[in-house]
Amino acid sequence: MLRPRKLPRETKLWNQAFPAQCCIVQSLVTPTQQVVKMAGILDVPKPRINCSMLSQHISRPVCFVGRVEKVHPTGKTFTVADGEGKIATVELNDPLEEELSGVVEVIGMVSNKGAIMATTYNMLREDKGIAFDLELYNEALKVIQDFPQHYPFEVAASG
Amino acid sequence: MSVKLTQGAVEALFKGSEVNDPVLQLLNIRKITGDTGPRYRLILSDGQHSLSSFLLATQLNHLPEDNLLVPNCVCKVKRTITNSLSDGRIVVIVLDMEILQSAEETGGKIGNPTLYTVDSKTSTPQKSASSVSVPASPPSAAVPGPSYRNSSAALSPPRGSGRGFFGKSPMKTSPMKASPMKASPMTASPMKASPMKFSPTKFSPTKFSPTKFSPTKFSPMKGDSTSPGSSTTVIPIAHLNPYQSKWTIRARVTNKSSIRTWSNSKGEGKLFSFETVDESGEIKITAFNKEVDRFFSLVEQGKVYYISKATLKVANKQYTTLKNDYEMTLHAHSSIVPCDDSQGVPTLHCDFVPIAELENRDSDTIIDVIGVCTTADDVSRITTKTSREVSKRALNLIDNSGKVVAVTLWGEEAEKFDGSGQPVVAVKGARLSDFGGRSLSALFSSTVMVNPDIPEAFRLRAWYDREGYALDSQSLTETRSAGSGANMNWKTLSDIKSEQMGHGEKAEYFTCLATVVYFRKDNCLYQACPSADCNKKVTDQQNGLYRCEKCNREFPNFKYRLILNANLADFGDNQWVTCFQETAEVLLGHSAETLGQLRDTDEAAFDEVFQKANFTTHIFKNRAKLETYNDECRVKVTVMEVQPVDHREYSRRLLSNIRKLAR
Repeated sequence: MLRPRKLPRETKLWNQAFPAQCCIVQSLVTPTQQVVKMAGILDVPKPRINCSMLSQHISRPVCFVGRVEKVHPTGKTFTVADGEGKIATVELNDPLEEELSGVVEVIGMVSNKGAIMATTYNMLREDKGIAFDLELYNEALKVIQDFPQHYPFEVAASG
Repeated sequence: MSVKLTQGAVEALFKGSEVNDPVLQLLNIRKITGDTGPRYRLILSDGQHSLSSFLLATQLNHLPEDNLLVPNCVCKVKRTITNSLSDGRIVVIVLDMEILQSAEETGGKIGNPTLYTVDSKTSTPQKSASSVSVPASPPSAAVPGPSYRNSSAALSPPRGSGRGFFGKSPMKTSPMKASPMKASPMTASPMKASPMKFSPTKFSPTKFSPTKFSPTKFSPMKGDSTSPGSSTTVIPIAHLNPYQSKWTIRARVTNKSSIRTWSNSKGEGKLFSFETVDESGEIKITAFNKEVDRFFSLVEQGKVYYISKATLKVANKQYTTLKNDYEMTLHAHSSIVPCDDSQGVPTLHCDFVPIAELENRDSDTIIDVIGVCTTADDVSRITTKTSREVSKRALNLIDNSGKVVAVTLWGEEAEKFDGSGQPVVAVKGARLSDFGGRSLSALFSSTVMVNPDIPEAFRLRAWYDREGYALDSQSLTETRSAGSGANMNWKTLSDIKSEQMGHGEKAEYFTCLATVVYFRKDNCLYQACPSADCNKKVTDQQNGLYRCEKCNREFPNFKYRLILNANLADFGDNQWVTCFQETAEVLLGHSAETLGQLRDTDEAAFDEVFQKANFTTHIFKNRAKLETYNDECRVKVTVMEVQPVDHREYSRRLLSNIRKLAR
């Protein structure tokens, strides 16, 4: 999979997050390496956030759940709305290979422009199971934010 | 004695015109007991005239109490307010005054002031000088009024003080002493028919020591009035109290109840009550027996009436929710006259509570609420415990706090309610209950108004049309799902032990969310009597027949029934429970028969059923009861119902619990 060259800033951020992967040649990345990179983010605690919390998590891995709004024709970026109705942008490394709709869970890093650089996403199918209640999810997020002493995710994850 | 009194000030003050800091001499001061404390009535003179219609404001009570304000002292009156009582008399209330010269310095009375009189109405032509406390002998024509003769300083007692001014001003609550001092020979005086609304009675001879002042002097001012026709001066509802008997109020009927009859050991009776409101407040009025016949057809909801001559007594808060300390009972002399002039009388006095706030109010309080009716159920008939059939209808109200609550209407109101078109509904006097979280129930005394003509209704309508209709808000009355909704007594498994549930005499019912962690599958099936309704275990006679002891019969067959013991667990604790046929079948997902057959044929498949059902989470409705089993007492929990977990509803409940705990 070819990946366009990253801008120097992005590279720096990337290296900050995954110091192990500060390899110089980034143009040709094999699937294995991709997976390895992904594994990096998956090992790390990723707080669940909504749009209002984006600014507090710049350059950090997060998990964002929202409803897909618009998909850019190139398939490399799309917008999502959170439980409060606010919109965030998600940027992908590779263009979408499938039709994206409904609620998705995106895991990635927050860029300093407030967009989410997705490493992986997960579509919560609406035709299967119970529909995802985004507003209720937002309420839960607020509770987690309001009572961090009861939700020590950081500690738990690293353990 | 060099201070100069402001001549003409008395007249000016009496007339209510502006006088700038008049300097007056205090001729006499008299203490009166008012309802709110002692009041001081002053006779002030400006050298030219004197007037006894001065009252000291309570904030200045310290002046006479500290002996600063004594007869003959000269003072500057800095602030006054002139009131006219309903019967036409004028009283000047001194709000601020300053002592300029003490009595000693002044010496005696300055000038030769004559008692200021105004023709007509009050006071009377006074005979200047003369007087002395000559009892009675009302000089010629009427000397009604504040006949208090102005005589030499100290001696002239401000009789009449009794006359008190009551009415709106400070003394409004002076106890009425009915038939007062008729003693006065003065009775004769044709008091100008001022319809004493407040029976002037006050002149309590008690106030005066009869020795000092001959009781004579008081103006009869009472009696004569009557003729209500003349100037029915209306008093505000807020001023009603049991100590005044001659009053009239003008108010609109906001809520009229139907006739209720009762029969108890003392006999039978009937009553009806209605609530009225005017600009100042509201009050409940009840009519009994004969008055019911007289007034029931006359009084109509929404109309304004003049009401007078009823008995006032302290309100029985049990039966009324209005904000008034008193309530009224109509009697034979009461009169209710329709009033055409209803401007100024409000239509309803409501204290609406935003729906989101209802959670913070205690259960069983009486609340007024207004909201847009989003949905209304159909009217249903239910039989109450007293085996009465009654109609009921539940509707949902949403208001601009974004919350929804269920309101239950009963009886006729339920039947006539039309919820189409999402009307704005206002309910006054509904009872808040914690049925299903929070819900409201219309009482017998509640008023339900559809699209009422009040500003809040318009505001709600505008809000709803703009944004409200799209709100998918949260109802405070949750659990209307799956019937009942009542007694969803949510507990966690650890509560069973900590609250010692089931230890009382009665069984305790509760609901919990739990996961099955173990099934005791060894003895879960038993052979039961095949006859309908009999679930007794049959004994295998070994000859192909099964005997049921209860039916006293033998059968060639049996039916399998389940008694499943399972262990449930949640985050806090675990608990052994027993599930009978119905609930066990739901848990395992198979009927008893199927399971019976599987057990006999395919062991593996039988085990598989339990494996699959293991570690599943459900909502359990249980019953905990203390049972004695061979001398041993222990709490046994039986599962009454098993329901799948509605995650959204459960999450909402958890969220609301978290928020409640956080407060």
